[in-house]
Amino acid sequence: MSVSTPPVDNEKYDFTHSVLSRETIDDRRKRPIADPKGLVITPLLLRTDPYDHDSIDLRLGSYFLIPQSPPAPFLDPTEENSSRLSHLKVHKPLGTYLVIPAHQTVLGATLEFIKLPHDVSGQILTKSSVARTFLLIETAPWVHPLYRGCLTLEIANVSNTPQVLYPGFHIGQLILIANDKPADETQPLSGAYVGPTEPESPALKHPKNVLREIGINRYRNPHSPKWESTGE
Amino acid sequence: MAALVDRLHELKDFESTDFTIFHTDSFDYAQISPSAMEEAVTQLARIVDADQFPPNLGLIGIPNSQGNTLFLNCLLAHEIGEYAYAKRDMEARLAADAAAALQKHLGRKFSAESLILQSRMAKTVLHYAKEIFCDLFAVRLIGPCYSFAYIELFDLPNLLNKNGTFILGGDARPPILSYHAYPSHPFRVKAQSDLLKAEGWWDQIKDMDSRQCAVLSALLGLDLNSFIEAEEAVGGDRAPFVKALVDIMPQVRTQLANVTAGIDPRTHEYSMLWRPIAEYLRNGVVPSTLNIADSAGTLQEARATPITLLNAAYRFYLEGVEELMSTIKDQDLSSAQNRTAWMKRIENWTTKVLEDVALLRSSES
Repeated sequence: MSVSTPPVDNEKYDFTHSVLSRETIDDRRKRPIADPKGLVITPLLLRTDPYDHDSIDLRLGSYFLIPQSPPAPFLDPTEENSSRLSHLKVHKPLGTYLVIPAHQTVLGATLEFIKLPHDVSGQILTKSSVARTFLLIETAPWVHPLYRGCLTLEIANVSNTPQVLYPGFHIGQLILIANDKPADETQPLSGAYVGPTEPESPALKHPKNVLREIGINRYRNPHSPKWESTGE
Repeated sequence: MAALVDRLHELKDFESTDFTIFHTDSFDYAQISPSAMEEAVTQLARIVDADQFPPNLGLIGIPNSQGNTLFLNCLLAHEIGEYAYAKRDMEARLAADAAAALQKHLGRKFSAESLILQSRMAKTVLHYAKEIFCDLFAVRLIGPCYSFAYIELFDLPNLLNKNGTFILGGDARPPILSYHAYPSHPFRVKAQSDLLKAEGWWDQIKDMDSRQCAVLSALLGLDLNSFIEAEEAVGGDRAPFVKALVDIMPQVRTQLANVTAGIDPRTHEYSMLWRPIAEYLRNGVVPSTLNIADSAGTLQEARATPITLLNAAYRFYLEGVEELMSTIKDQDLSSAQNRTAWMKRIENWTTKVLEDVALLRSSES
């Protein structure tokens, strides 16, 4: 039996997905802050050209969260402060550096604060020169329309040697992609990650709440030998 | 701190001054004495034949409670004033005026006292004058954000009742509390509000929707002569230190004008940029570079100086947090936890913008 692929109806689908070029990025940056199509990338240090034809280089910021063993033996989503206590905050001013041991991770952030337009998504990728040292900077690289804040970087040194990170160095490249349908800018923003200027601990969701949403009525709490109710 | 020191460098004779900050989680104000440290270093240098204490280095101690709060650290401008007061030998310049003022109010009673006691009494007036000088120096340096921080730190919105009326208004006379080295907080803020009016700041901030501004407004309406000491209010016997202080206020202001001669208060820049800065913050965006329309409607890129950024952002912190929260999902305006989180966020954005502005400047120089 053969299955034939139905022909694509180009009239029905509006294929307007495209990567924003340097000219479009510049145009979007020159709009008033209230314009939903406006793009903010600041501070844009122009001594060395941060633009490529289809991307813009971003620098490493100077604040870090270094993972440490929390008071509990594991990162515990049932404990309100577990996430916060699992990191040590470190400030490395420009001109100083941070050493990441082999096979270790650290949360960082971009130096640049960005605000995406309502019709543009973004993706941040490790710069190739950085990637070749086996440093990965991002495991959640997608940036939604209307996002604002410095981008949190989940930096991992997957090499066998310790590596030195200098704040202010170009570390990633941001690619901006036009969407076929803009997000509604009149809707309230989601509060969890609005406007961070430095890396922040993850907002862990309590398993009780997440499981209740999908109809599960009991769960195992790591601190209790018994099953507990999700309140369903 | 770097922004404050840069601002100090605009003053004649302070172009190369730098500061070292003491900040530990173990000490508070009372336990930090930078001047004592300078003296100890000088003495040690004599003993071990080392370099003298650097002539252009000031020492400032930040209490542990204040380290993590950007806006409250506007109070550092007062400590910079202490450095300027000592460097320009203000005490010697005001000593004769302080003694003359006490003589005027006590007459022969003052003359009859021993020279030691006369000196001690004059010292109290000079202590008061120093605090006022440093407050006014801070206002000259950074504008009303100093007064906002002062009012916040010392809980002075409590001078107003719940509906915003000044509880010391009418015929009541704000007492000078019995601190020997410090004038009362209302007196000090009254002196600041007078200067803000003289500088042109008051016209820029008088419409602010905040209790900070209401306190400044209420004190602006009082006469300095209406302040009395607590002991005097209950019929106690106390030397007329406050009356003497009021008498030498013109000299304090004259000396302040000399030390801060030529500094631009930046009221014009503030008047042009505080609204765009507030709009950026309302949109949850750090206002490092501003796209604003000029008079012809053409969009221009503009950058504010740190003084304008501090004052505009502090204004937004005081009156704009509810507007900001209304743009965020699931925020309860009556929740102290929610409000604190967003106020902290505004402080973070302001810290970021100050860092950005310094970086933009250095990258272009």
